Amino acid sequence: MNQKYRCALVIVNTLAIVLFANTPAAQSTDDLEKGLAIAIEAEKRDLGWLDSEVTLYMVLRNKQGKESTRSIRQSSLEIPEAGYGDRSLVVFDSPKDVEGTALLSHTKTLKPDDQWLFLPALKRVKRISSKNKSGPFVGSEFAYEDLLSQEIEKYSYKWLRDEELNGQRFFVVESTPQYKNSGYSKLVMWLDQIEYRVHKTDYYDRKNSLLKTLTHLGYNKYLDQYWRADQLRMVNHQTGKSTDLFFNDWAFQTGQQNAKFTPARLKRAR
Amino acid sequence: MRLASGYTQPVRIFYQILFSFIFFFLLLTRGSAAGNFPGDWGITGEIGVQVRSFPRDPNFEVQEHATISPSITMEVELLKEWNNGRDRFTFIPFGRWDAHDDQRSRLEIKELHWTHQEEDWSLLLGISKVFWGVTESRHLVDIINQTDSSADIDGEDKLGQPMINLTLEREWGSIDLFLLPYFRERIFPKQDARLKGLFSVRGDAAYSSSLKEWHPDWAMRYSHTFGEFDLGVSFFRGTSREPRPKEREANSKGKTVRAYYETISQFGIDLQWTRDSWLWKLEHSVTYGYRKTFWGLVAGFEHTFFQIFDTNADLGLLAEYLYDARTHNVFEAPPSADEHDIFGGVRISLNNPADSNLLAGIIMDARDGEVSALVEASHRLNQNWVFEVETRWLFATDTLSAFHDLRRDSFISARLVWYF
Repeated sequence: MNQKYRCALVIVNTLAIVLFANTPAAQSTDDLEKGLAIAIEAEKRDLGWLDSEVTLYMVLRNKQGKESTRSIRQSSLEIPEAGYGDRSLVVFDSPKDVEGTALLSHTKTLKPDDQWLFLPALKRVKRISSKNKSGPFVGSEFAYEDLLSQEIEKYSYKWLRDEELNGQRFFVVESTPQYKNSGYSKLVMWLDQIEYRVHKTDYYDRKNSLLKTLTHLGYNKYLDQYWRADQLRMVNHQTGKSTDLFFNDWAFQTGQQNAKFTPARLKRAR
Repeated sequence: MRLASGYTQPVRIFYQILFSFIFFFLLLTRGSAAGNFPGDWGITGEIGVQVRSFPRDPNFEVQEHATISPSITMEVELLKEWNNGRDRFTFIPFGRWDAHDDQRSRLEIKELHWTHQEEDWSLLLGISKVFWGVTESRHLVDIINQTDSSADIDGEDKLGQPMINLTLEREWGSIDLFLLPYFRERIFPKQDARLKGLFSVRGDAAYSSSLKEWHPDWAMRYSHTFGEFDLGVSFFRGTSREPRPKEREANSKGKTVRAYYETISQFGIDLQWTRDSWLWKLEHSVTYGYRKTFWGLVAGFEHTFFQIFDTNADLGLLAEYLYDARTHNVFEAPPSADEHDIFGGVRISLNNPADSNLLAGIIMDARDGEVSALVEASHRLNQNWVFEVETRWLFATDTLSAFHDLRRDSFISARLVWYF
């Protein structure tokens, strides 16, 4: 290392010490551990659902309040292996011009996901690039990365504080995406301290300004264990647009097989 | 109006009766049930109005001189599932009414089949459509369905193919077996239509097989995903979907040829490597059964820049090289226009609620001076309406070129579709 760089390093180090001197290092490590422990507990409580089916109704609203809608069916398969995320099959019922279009995702924790698209008019199954994590899902305020499987390893965590709102106690946890091509610098989540359910998430863009807020509404318990919200509301603070996502007819442990989630089967998806 | 062209007379009459029944039935039921079809039948469809405009006068005197050419299409999809979704019946009749080309005006069964799904195998019985391949500019290995050349010259419009298709799904890949008991002739534009060459194709097709259109064709395909690679290997034995022109004739009505279909074997490979925002694509085929053995190749890539200029829009760049050992020599094999062409294209998707997108592409053959340029765009107007624009421009300097007769048939088309 040459002299010039060494000098620069010393200056940077000094600056860092001056700037962060009043953040005790020990407490910071504790906050990271506590954040991770909360995330692990939340995931532990949601294990074992095996597979699920749900219908989604999406309402997209622009700044002027003009609405458009989408009807979607989603099937998911839980994959317990480390390094792999869940598998999901999404089929469109409306708008009618894309009816029967299906998207198959094999998610992974840190490696790029595998995704295939089925175009029913052409009867064509097309492998697509999964790099577009931060892109909008069907023109909505949800990005692909908001909807795909959320695995522990995908983020690093930090407990920020406890908060009390409307008589309920919350953990406020910051998570930072560890996978490539995320559109976010960080997420700040509010989890209730009794059931470890996420009630609200603030998304910060790559420039670290507040981009979106996601609110979970109407939690219901299924199979006496799994909490699912009836409605997700995503509001984009920078564009004034919003998307509501309504979930209906949840079904769990319906005995879906791995074979249903293969590109070969996609041509029969409907 | 021709009904179900590409079938023999008895089949056509059967279709006529069947179609009349079905359209009548569907219209009645639609009206009364207002979407709630009795007995869990799913019914959807689309009605489209298209206007094609040919700015230049035709190349041949017999061709239609009108610059504006309207047409209407209707497609209905009828779906019924039972046995917990394991069994499914699909029926998709389609009709087109063209003001100037009664070969384009026809009724067609795009799909009419029953599928049965088991854990690791499935069976399809009936008329259906199958697509094989990965490239964009040409579908070299895709061979199951016949092309409707009267609908468009891009070869993307297909006719329903009667088949028995057994799919076996295994850990090591998926195997598709096809038995294709009936062959459908290619549909060509009629004598006075635009987008056709000097010769018209007569109705009296000839075959190298004595079984003619009843020659039992068969095919198989193996496909699997190996990490970043998606591979398909296919084999087809049967009647070539492409005819060779034979027995040229000239009379007062113009010049005609007979379509001659040979029995061939075709081996095909399609491969895509998906890495980051790159899709690398390859299709290769070898065909035996013509005068000589011929091979073809399409290889290229698609690279996408996501969320360009901090917007939601994606920009894709496409490039492909096309090679075909076949030439214009019709005594050896069906002629091919893709001898050594280069394709370049741009795809823009706005990723907005209206799903606006545009594809612009150009295929060039430097040696023959053949150029075909295309722009396609579509935009969703609201929940049920979509607007599409397409324009294709054809240039050719070489008089032997396949495009030379089409050089005055560049067109612009606008299409409004209502989905229900």
